[in-house]
Amino acid sequence: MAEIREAFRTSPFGKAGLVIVGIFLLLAVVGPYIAPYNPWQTADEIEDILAPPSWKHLLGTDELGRDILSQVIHGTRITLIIGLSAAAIAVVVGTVVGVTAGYFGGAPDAVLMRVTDSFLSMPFIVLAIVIVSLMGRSLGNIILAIGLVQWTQAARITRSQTLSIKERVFVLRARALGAGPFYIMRRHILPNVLPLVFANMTLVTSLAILSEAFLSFLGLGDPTKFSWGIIIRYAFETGAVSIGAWWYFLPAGICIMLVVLGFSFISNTLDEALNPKLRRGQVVV
Amino acid sequence: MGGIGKYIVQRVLLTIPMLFILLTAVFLMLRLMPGDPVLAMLGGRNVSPQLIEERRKEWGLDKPLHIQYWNYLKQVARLDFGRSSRTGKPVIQELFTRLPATLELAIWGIFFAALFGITTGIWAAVRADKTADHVIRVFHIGSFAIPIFWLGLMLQMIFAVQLDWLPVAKRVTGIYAYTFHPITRFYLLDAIILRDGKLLLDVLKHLILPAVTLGIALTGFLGRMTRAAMLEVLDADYVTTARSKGLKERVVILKHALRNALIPIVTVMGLQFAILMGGAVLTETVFSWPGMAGFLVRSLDARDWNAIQGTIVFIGIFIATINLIVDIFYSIIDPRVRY
Repeated sequence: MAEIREAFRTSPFGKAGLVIVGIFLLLAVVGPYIAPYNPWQTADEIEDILAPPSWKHLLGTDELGRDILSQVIHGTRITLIIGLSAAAIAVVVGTVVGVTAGYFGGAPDAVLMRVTDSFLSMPFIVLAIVIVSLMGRSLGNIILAIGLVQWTQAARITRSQTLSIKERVFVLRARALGAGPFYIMRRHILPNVLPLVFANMTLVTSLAILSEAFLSFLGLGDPTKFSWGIIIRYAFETGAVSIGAWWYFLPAGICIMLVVLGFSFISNTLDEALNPKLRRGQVVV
Repeated sequence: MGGIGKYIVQRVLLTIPMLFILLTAVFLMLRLMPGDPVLAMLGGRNVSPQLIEERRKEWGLDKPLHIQYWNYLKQVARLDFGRSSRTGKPVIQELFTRLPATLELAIWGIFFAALFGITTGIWAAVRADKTADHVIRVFHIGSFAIPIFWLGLMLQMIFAVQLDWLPVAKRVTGIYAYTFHPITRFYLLDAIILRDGKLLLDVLKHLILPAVTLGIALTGFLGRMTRAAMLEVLDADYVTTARSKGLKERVVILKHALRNALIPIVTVMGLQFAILMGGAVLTETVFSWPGMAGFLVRSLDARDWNAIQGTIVFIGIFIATINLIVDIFYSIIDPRVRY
C-alpha cells in the first residue's frame, strides 16, 4: 500500500490519471442533474438544427436539434458503467482461469492456456461484434460481450503469479498441514494476486471503454441510451464529417481519449508500484 | 538444422489444438445463441412449418449436435463454408474477393505504423529522459488511447472535406467501376501490372488516409517496443565497442543498435496482426472500404449464418497461420527462442 501511495506521489502521470478519472466519475454521478438540457429534447426552430456551438448550446446541436453537451454528459455515466462492469467480468473470468491453470498445472493448465491462446488469435472486436449482434443490442449484452473477450490478459498475469506463489514456503506449509487446493487458492493465492488483478482491471477498463465505442460506432450500441460511442455513430450516420459539423463528434471523441488515458496512467503507475522490475524508471508510461 | 526442424514441428503441433478450440468455440457460440437461424433466414413470420422443416433438413440442422459438429469440421477442413444466403455465392468465394482489400489496407497500415513507430521510438531512446523523449512518449500513449474510427473521421474531415487534398472514401474513383477490371484485387499491384499511371495515382490517393489511420493506431505500441528494445541494446557491449572504434553515432545507432533491436520489434508486429485486423474492421467502416468488415456486418444484419461462421473461422485460421509463420521466422533469425 505504501509503495502505491509513493508511486502516485512521485509520478505526474499517475496524478493526472487520478484527476482525470476522478472528474469523469464525478460527472457520471452528478451529470444528469447538471446537464443543461434533456438530451432527447428535439428542437422546434430550424436554426437549432445542427447549430454550431453558441451560448444557447455550448457544444452545438445534432440533426434533431438535440443538445450535444447534454448528450456527452449523459453519456459519461453509460460509458463508465459499461467500462467498469465489463472490466469486472473480464478480471473475474481471467482470475478464475489463471489461478486454476497456474495452481493445478499439467493438463488443466495446458487446456486453459490453449483456450487463452486461441482467444488471443481472434480480433476481439470481431468476436464482440458477433456476440452482440446475435444476442441483441442491449446494455447488458454489450457488457457481457466485452467482458467475455477481454479476460485473456488477466488470465496470463494471474497464472504466472500463481506459479511463483504456489512454490513459496507458506503455501507448502499449508499444504503439508492438509489444506485442500480450494482453501489454498482462496486463502493464500488469491490475496497475493489481487493487487495485480486490480492493476490489470484499470487497464482493462480503458480497453472496455474503447471496445464499447468500437461496437457503438459499428451500429451495435444500445439505441435507447447515449454513450460517447453512440454519439459519434449518430454523427457518422448524419454525415457530420462531410458538412463540417465538427462539434458533433469532436467532444465525445476527446472524452473517450481522456478517460482511456486516465485509466492507463493509473494502471501504469500501479504496475510500477507492484512490479519491481519496472520500478527503476525505465518504463514509466 | 535439426533444432529448427524440431521447433517448427512443435510449433505446428501447438497450432492444431488452438485452431480446434477456436473452431469448437465458434460452433458452440453460433448454435447456443438465441434465435433460430432457419427462421431468421426465411424472414421470421408467416413461413409454413413445412418449409422450415425442409430447409432444416437441407442444411443438416435436423441432425443431433455431435453430427452437425462433425459435418462442420469436415466442411472447414475443405474450406467449404457453404453458400451465403444473402448473396447466393459460396462464402469462401466472397471472402477471397474481399480479402485483398483488407490485406492491402493492413499492409500499408503496418508500413505507416513502422514508419512512425520505429522512427519515433529510436529518437525517444537516443534522447532518453530528455524533452523529446517525454513528448514522443505522450504521443505514443495518445495513439493507444485515441479511438481509431474517430481519428479516421477527423483525418477525413480535415484532409478530404476541408482541404480537399484526398478522396473521402472507397478504393478508387467511381468512374473506374466501368473501365478497371481488377486482376489480383490488390489495386496498387493491379495498377502497376496494367501500367496505368493515372489509376496508380488514384489508388494511392485513396489508400493514404485509411492506411495512415490504421498506422497511427499501432504506432504507440510499436514505438514503445522500439524505445525499450533500443534502450536495451544501446547499453550492450558491442555498441560501446562500436563507439570506441570511433564510428559515427548515426552508424552506431542505425547499423549496430537498430539491427539487433529490430528482431523483437518485427516479432511483436507479426503478433499484433489480430489487433491490426480488428483496427481494419473499424477503418474500413469509416472509409467505406470494400473489405471483410462490410461483409461481416452485412451478414450479421441479414442473419446469414453460413457467412458469419465462415468469416470468423476464416479470420481465425488466417491469423493463426500468420502467427505461426512469424514465430518460425523469428526462430530462424534468433536461435535463442528455440530453447
